[in-house]
This record gives sequence, structure tokens and C-alpha cells, in this order.
Amino acid sequence: MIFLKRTLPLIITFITGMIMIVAFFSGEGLPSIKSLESTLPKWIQIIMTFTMVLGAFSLLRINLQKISRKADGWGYSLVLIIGFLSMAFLGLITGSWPMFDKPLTKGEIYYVLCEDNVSARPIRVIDNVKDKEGKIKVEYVDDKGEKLADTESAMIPPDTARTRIMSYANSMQQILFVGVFKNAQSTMFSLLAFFVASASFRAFRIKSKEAGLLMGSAFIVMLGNVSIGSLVSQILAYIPVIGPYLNIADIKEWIMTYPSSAAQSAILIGAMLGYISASMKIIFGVERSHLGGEG
Amino acid sequence: MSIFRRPPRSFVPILALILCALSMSFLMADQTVKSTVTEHRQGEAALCCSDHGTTAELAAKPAAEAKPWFAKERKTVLIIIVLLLLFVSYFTFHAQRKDLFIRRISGLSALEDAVGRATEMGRGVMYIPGIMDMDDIQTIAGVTIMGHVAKKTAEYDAALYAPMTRSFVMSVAQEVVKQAYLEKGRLDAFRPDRINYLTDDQFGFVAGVGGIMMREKPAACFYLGTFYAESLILAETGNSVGAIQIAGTAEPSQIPFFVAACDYTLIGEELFAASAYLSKNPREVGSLKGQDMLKLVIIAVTIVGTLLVTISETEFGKGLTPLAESFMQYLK
Amino acid sequence: MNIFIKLKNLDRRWVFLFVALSVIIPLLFPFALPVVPTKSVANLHKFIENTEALPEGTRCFLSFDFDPASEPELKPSAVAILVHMFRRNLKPICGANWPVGGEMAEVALVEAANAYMSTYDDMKAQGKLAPGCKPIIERGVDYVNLGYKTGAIIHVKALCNDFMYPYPQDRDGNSTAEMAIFANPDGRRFAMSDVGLIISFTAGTGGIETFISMAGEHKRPMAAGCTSVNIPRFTTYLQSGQLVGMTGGLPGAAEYETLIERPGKGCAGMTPQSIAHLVIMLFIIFGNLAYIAEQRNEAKKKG
Repeated sequence: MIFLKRTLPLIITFITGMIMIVAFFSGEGLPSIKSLESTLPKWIQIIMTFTMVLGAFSLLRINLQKISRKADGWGYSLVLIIGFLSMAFLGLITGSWPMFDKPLTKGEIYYVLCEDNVSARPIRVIDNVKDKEGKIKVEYVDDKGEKLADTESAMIPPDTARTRIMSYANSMQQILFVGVFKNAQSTMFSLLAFFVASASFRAFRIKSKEAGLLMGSAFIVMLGNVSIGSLVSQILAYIPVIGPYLNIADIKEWIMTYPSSAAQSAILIGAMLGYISASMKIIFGVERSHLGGEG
Repeated sequence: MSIFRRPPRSFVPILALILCALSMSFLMADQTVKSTVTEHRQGEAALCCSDHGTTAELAAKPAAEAKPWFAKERKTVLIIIVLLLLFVSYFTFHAQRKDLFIRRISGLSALEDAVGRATEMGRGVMYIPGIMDMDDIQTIAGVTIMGHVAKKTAEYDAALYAPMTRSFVMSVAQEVVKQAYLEKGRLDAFRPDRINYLTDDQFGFVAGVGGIMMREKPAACFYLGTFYAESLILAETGNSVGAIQIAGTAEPSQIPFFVAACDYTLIGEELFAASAYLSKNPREVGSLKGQDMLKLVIIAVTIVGTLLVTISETEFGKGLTPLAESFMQYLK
Repeated sequence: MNIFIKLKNLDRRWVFLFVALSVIIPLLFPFALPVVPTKSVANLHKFIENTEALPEGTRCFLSFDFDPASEPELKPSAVAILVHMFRRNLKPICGANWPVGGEMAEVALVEAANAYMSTYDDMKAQGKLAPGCKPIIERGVDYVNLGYKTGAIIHVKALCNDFMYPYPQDRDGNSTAEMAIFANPDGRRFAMSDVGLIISFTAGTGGIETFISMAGEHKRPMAAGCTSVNIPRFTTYLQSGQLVGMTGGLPGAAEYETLIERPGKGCAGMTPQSIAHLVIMLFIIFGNLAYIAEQRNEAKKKG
């Protein structure tokens, strides 16, 4: 058991690590080794995809348990399960719709997605023989199947035409994605603006000279980043002698280009050395605590 | 067992054999490709020698165009890695004979106090090892520190909540925490359902974690790993429930957010040093020293380069211009 | 003094309310503030204007590496740059390293193409269009949206050798091999070496840094559009010359819009953002006054 849980992962880590290092430094004269540089990351993607099943299973199990036990906040779990199942169902259906749909028949009415990515418009297949670009000829019709007067026939890829049921499923999925998911994501991101304000109000204190310097530069950068900074610069320009030099945007640019950039580079160099060193320790088995147990 | 420290007798030959077999097969594959290409070219040459030169000239072309086995544009990276490897190896072996000093990292020193405080308050501990997968070194560092935190929660009998954004990280974290509880003899207290997967989506995860924080009100929150825009949302939510917060990331753009909203922040490489700091393992502390030595080399190169370029720009330093240019060219 | 001490314990929901008002009020009652382009934005504009670096008809690769969460910050600069490219008769080829990047590119392309076509006559009259500009631009000829491809660095590596390999079809399923935009006069397959400029609109990982790490292979000039929080990180690349220019967040977009004389969402967002910044600064000042008042109180008690 110890061999499977500790030794085997160490052997695999060492071998793959060494191969990746050799592949990284090998030139075009060694194409099969060089190609591993792009092949192995694809393996990672495949393995990661399989682990999604693990995650989905864990998510369902824990939340179903909460619902069955009527634990505190089980209503949230219920919403999660409904959302999870409906998105998975619609995604599976629309993603693999050709499996459920019959081949396109000449003269039949199908539906294609409109530019808003939600609604669908009907079309009639005029000719289902593909041209050299793999497209078929269709005409736009109204709900009753009558040809629209002001449209010409169009060429579309056949896999964009769907049956009525598939079109409904697709629209439903798009409504959930565009209407709920995208907006929820934007809402969560916009919370940052509020939290930046509350965090700076609470934590930005001038407790030392350095903190004072930091606040001064923060104010300059905040002003210089927005239009009001130009307005302030125009007012400051009236100060005799030094006024014209007090351009907030220029001072901000200097702060960003030199002190800030230097600090960022220092952190990055340190972090990258840490990266390389940690990778080496993992490859050579010095660091093993991620496998469980003492390092 | 460690490959570095005490390799078992059977292990090294097996590894050497596997690596040899792999290298041989790759080299043979490349030789086959090359000979096929050469034959093909010779065939082509015989067919079209009247237009493009003689057969001998074309047959000689592959030799003249021989592609390099080594990617020359990556030589600087190789030098850095070799130097780092030498420094780390030297100090790792050196550390076993002599105790090396490691400076105090207050965030890590406060780790035990934070877990203790949670226990006293009868509340849980929340741990998030970043939002990236196991192929990110920061996540591995985060999971490693999670093992140490889990030992403390096992010792103090505090609840450990660890919502995850990647299912692979979840299974590794469960294993690490289970091992920590086992070592402390508290396997009965281990709750795998508290180390659960939420979603791969960044802001969906933040919403989920925020919900858990508001419901469970953890007294200590740890954010150690790769974080992006969610860093401040997590830290502010943690603050609003009155948790003591320790964060660490090597993402420069997120460090200011953590510094503003958390009690302690590990900056950049401190995250990778955490394992050595907590375990006090001489080999790991040695590797830190090796890292510092390379940093000294980089500082020296930076100073020399800056002076060289600055002087070469002045009137009396014009003679140094070719040297400065080749220096910059080499580093590019 | 007591007021300041009370302020210290102000419920954070008040802070949220003031921030919300500082954004909503300027949106309801808009007023203009001057926008002055900074060096990094001006440099990118100058590079795209430069007919020697980017002659008419040059194809540029634009990678949309963001999702709806960062859309308000990155889309305005993407639209402004696309409009500028259309006016210069450059041909944008859009791709994505992020799954919904293809959708983001589509929205930006449609908006930019409409903006270009609707102002064509005015711009032509003012002499602000390149000589080869057409009144109507076509998909597949003047621009293309290739959509999203997985793999990040592997994807970029593949593009260095041949665009048709990772993208046999564009986002709408049209064959790329047949498209005029990818045609090379000598019949070579279209590769990154044929691209005049690479721009990535980056929200996090898998953005411009992916292209920078492959710079040794493609050797093309690069620029970035990034979120405000990433500006300090990418400034390093500007300084080292790895990026020719950059538009940072909404201010960057506003500056670019000013340079191309087409005020859009970037300029419109400057007033609320300016007021919100002022409100945050005021809160920091009040927080510090509260801190000073508290310190004095404590000193008095000790004294």
C-alpha cells in the first residue's frame, strides 16, 4: 500500500519531471523529445477532465445528504442540485444534439440561432447537398413555413440547423447562461469595488512614515488613473514655479514605471526562484508532504 | 522514501533503466525520422538535379542544415537552473551537518495561535489552497501547508472546512488531511465531507465560499495558493465574520489586497518557504539557503549590468558599449 | 473628535451605499471630464498609426482572454482598437485563450464593424481613413473571429507554425483555408510570422504572458489590454520593451477612445470612476482622522 501511495507517485513524478526538463531544453534536432513538451500537457488536460466526475459526484453526494437530513440551509443545496442538473441536462442535450437529431431533410423546417444567441428563427432546407465549404442551401421562412418576401436564400453549415425541440433546449440553455450565469458572474466581480472601499477605509492607516509615503503615492495613482486627475493637474498648474511640474498623470506614470515596477520585479524574481526550487524539491522527492505525511 | 536522501538499493537501478530505455527509444525514433528524411531528399535530388543542383549537393544539405539538439535560446534558463541545483544540493547536504538560521515569518508563527483561537471560540477553521489545479506549484505549496494546519486542527479538535475549486485538489487535500489526522491519532475526527468540491468557476466559487463563511462563521481563515480577483472578496467576507486571517500568494497583483484585508500575509516566495519553516526539516531549510545564494548572484548580475549600461551611456564610458550590448543580448 | 471616533466603527454597509451612489448619480446625470492619454496608450496608438511598422492590409492577431466578469473593463478598449484598425485598413484576426473569449470577440467585432461602417462617410470626408478603406467590411476578408481553442501555450505554439492547424474553421464553422484574409501571395500557410502585431486583452492567466513566453518563437511585436488590477504587473513588460503599448482598464479605453476621437463606454465610465475614486479617498482620509483621534484619546487617558 505504501508503495502505491508514496513510492509509485514519487517514481512517476521523477520520470515525468526529468522528461519535461529534457524536452524543454532539447532543440529541433530531437523532434520526438521536443514534441513531448506539447504532448504531456495534453495528458494533464485529459486527467483533469476525468477528475471532474469526481468533483461532480462529491458535490451531489454532500448536497443530497444535506437535503435528506434537512440540515441548516438545505434550501441552498436544493437550488444547487436543481441548477446543476438542469444545466448538465441542457448542456448534454444541446452539445450532443446530432446524436438525437435525424439528418436534415430537403423541404423540412429547422431552426437556426439568431445573433442574440437566445432566440431561433425558422429556415427551410432547399438543397441538402453540401458545397465545397460543407454548407447547405436554406431559405428563411415564417412560423407557418411561408418564405419571407425580403430575404434571399442563404448557405449555412448543416450542424447549425436544429429541430424544434433541440432549438427550445438550446434557447433554454442560452437563457440560463446569458441571463443568469453571465450576470451573476459580473455581479460577483463588481462586488470588488465595494470591498476595495471598505478594506481601504478600515485598513489604510498612517501608522508610520512609510505608510504615509504609501498613502501619498496611492492618492496620486488613484487620481492619475482617472480623468479628474487631469482637472487637478490643471488647477495645480496655477501654483507658481513648481505648478507646471505637478502633472498628476506624469507623476503616476513615473511611480508605476519605476518604484512599483521595481518592487513587482523583485517579488516576481523571488517567486520564480521559489517556483523552480519547489519544483526541483518535488521532482527529487525532497518535498513529499503533498502526498500525505511528513515532508 | 526520498530519492535525494537515502535511495534504496533497488530503486536507483530501476529508475536509471527506465530513463535509459526512454532516452534510447526517443533517440532511435529521431534517427529513424532523420534517415527517412535523408533518403527522401536523396530521392528528390535524383529526380530534380537538373533544376536545383547536383545530387551530391542536395544529399549534403541535411548535414549542412543539421538541426541543434539543444534549444540555444533557453541557455540562460539552463544556467539559472544548473546554478540553483548546485546551490540547493550543496546547502541541502551542508544543512544535515550544521543548523541553518531561518528568519521568523510572522504569518506562519501565528498559524498555531489562529487554530487555538478558533478552538477557544468553539468555531471552525477555513482553508483555501488557491483556485488553481495541482499543476500549479502554488497549489502544491498550499496543500503542503494545509497538512500542517490539519495537524493543529486535529490536535485542538477544531473543525476544518476546505471548499475546493478543483476536484483533483480536493482528492489530494482529503488524503493529506486524513494522513495528518492519522498521525495525530485522531482519525475518528476526520470529516472528508468538509473538504468538498464547489465549482470550477471563479466567481461561483467565491459565492459558495462566502455562503459557507456566513453560515459557519470560522474563527480563522487561511488563503494560501494562487488567487486572482476573488482574493479581496474572500478576505473581506472573512473579516466581516471576525476571523483572524492568514494569506499567502505569489501573484504580485493580489498581494496588496491580502495585505489590506488580512492579519498576516506571506509575500511571494515566503509561500514556498512555509513548508521548510513549519517542518524545520534541515534538507528543506538548506534548499532555502541555496535559493538565497542564487538570489545574491542575480542581484550581483543586476548591479553589474546596470552599472555597465549606465557607464556605457556616458561620454567616458563609450568604450564599454560593445560589452554592455553583448551583456544585454546574452540576458535576452 | 468624538464624531471621528464614531466614524471608525461605521458599518461597512454605509461605505457600500456611498460607493453605489458615487457610481449611480454620475451615470444618471453625466458630465464630461477631460481625458489625457498616457504614454503607454499613446505608444500603442502611435504603433498602429505607423504605416512603416503596419502597412495597409497587415493582419493583426487579437486574443480575447477574458470572460463576462471583466467585459466592462476590457471590451471598450477592444472596440476602440478594432475601430482604429478598420480605419487604418488593418485586418484583425480574433482568437481566444478563454472559453467565452470567442463570444467576447464577436460582440466587440460587431460593435466595431458597425461603428466603422456608420461613420465611414464622415471619416472619409475628414481624411481620417487609410486610402484602401472600403465602406463595407466583410467577415473572412477584412476580419475574422476564430473563437476559442484550448491549450493556452500549446495553442499559441501551434499558431506560430500554422493558423489552419488549430483553426480549420472559424467560430461560425466556415473553412479558414478558403478565407481571403489568410491568403499569402506566395501560397505559404498563414502563420504567426505573417502577423504585424499581437494584442491580448488579458483578465488573468493565459493572456499576454502566454504570448510573451513564446516571443522567442514568434518574434512579433506585442501589446496588451489589461484590467486595472494588472497594470502594475504588466508595466514591467512595457519597461523591458516586450510590449509596445498597453491600455489599462477603463481609463486606458477612455484614453484610446480620445485618441481615435470616438468617445464610447470608456469615456462614459470615466465620470463615475473619478467620483468613486474620490469617495474612496475621502473614506481613507476619514478613517485616518478617526485613527488620529483615537490615538490622541488614548494618549490623554494615559497622560
